[in-house]
Amino acid sequence: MQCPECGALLGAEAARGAARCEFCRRRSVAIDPSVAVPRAWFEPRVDRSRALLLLRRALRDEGVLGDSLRKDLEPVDARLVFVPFHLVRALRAGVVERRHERREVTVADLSPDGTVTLRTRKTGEERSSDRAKVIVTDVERSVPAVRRRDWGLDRVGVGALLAEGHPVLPYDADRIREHGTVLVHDVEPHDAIERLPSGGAADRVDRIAPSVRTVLVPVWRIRYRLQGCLYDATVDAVKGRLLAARAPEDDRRRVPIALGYVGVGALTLGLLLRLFRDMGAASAGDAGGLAAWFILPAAVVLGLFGAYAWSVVRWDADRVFDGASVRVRYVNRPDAPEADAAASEAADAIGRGIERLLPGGDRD
Amino acid sequence: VTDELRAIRRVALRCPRCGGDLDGLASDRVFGCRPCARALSVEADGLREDELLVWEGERDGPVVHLPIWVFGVRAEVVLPPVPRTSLPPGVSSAERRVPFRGRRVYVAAFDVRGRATHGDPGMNLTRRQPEPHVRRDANPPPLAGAVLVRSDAERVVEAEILAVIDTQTDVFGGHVDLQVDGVYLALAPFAEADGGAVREPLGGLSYAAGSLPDLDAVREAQGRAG
Repeated sequence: MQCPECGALLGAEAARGAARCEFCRRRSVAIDPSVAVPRAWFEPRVDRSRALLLLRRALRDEGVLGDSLRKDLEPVDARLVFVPFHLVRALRAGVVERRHERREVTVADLSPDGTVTLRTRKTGEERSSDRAKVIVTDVERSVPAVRRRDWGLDRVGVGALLAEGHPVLPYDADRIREHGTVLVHDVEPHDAIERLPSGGAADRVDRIAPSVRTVLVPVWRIRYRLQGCLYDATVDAVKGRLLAARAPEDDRRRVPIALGYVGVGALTLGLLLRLFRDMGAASAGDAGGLAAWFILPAAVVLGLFGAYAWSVVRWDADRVFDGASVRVRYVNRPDAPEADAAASEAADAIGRGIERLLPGGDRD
Repeated sequence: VTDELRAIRRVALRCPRCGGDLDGLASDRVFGCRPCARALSVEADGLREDELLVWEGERDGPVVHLPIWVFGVRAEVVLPPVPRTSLPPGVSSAERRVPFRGRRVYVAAFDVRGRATHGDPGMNLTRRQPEPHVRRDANPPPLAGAVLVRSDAERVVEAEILAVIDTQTDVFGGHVDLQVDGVYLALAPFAEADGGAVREPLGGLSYAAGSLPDLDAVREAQGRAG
């Protein structure tokens, strides 16, 4: 960027907004604020040993690591990485339509013995008599400026870090390099602005004076070896919490789980067959036809149980720490075939239909 | 000028009247000239001038001057016809016009975080319609912390008027028939309160320091200027 007065090149501070020229001592500012995105950074507060300790604790709490050192993880690599986040802010002003809402009404029931019982029930969804809601508010969202799957970056809220009082420092390349490496952003600030929420079709809301600031958040990327395999983990270096990790799934648990499913399936089938036998004995004559109609669903039920149990033991699995939740991911399982996807959609549709049929809203 | 050229264009922060340096933080979008008492917004076509006035503050205790846009307005909210519930059924042909009884609309030019929790200072002043004593000061405090330029502030005015009228009647589908009589940027004295908070002028609400991101920088800039 050049000084509009003398044409000299401006220093790095020109990216932060109004800047003073080193030569003519005049200040100038960019007309379009979005071309000069100021940068800032959080200083890391968690060192390498503490990050490893946090990872060990999380794995031990989940039973991946035992108490003995023999089962400890072996760190292969741990490096501090600064992840850029676009912190987007804007003022929102305008009129939005109030959502249809359910109201709670209290009804008094008088029983014959004279006691009054108060019942609260929800009405059906109804349009509010005041349809307009006028808003003058600010909206803020932090968007990871890099695409890294399985790093748990969605859990990092820059706004929350600021609100908690973690000091954000002006960009200082030399000091940042002393700590670690900086990832180059691959999400443009304009794209981040577009992700700010806009209203619905009936809303008339302006997004006013949007601004973007790029904030570098330090995280520890740890590669470790456990049970002969390599796994990765991410630890927030500001707040000191595990953002994401992968670990080996405990295979010993999978066999009893699978056996349990098969057992429950066999028990269910046995009960059905016994019921069928009793019905056949009770009915006069046409027991053969009834048996055929009864064995078919029983076989389907048993097949479903068996298929699920087989999938439990068939594929290699990792345990994935994704923020607060832990789930199992089957590593080499292929994508669901079309038939499975169609069956899943059909089940969802049936579920939605049942919900619609159920009497909604009445609650004592 | 193409969009690309405008994007990299910079404008010198020099008063067009006296040629002096303008006050303001690095992150500001409105800068002030103290000798000329002018506020200059960085708009798409260059600097735009407005008057910079100071509100008289409370006599006791320290204050910090935060910038607020003040629009003198005459406005009515025009609402769509309502369906008739009595006979004959149908839609009433007449538009309804609800006058905005205030004479000014205030829009906070400084950065506020968490308006949903703390409220919007401009909105609160528009609801209260205070009558501040305005001082045409030869040497006003330095302008600092003004991030909302005048053209953006104008876009908030209609929403604030609708918000006031919405307390009386539903304004859905309505629009504002607005006439702006005058605009100036006020340096409003916010009184320092406990815990780093500041209180709105003329007996208004308090705002926690955490809700005003530039507050410390404004204090420093105005403290340095004495």
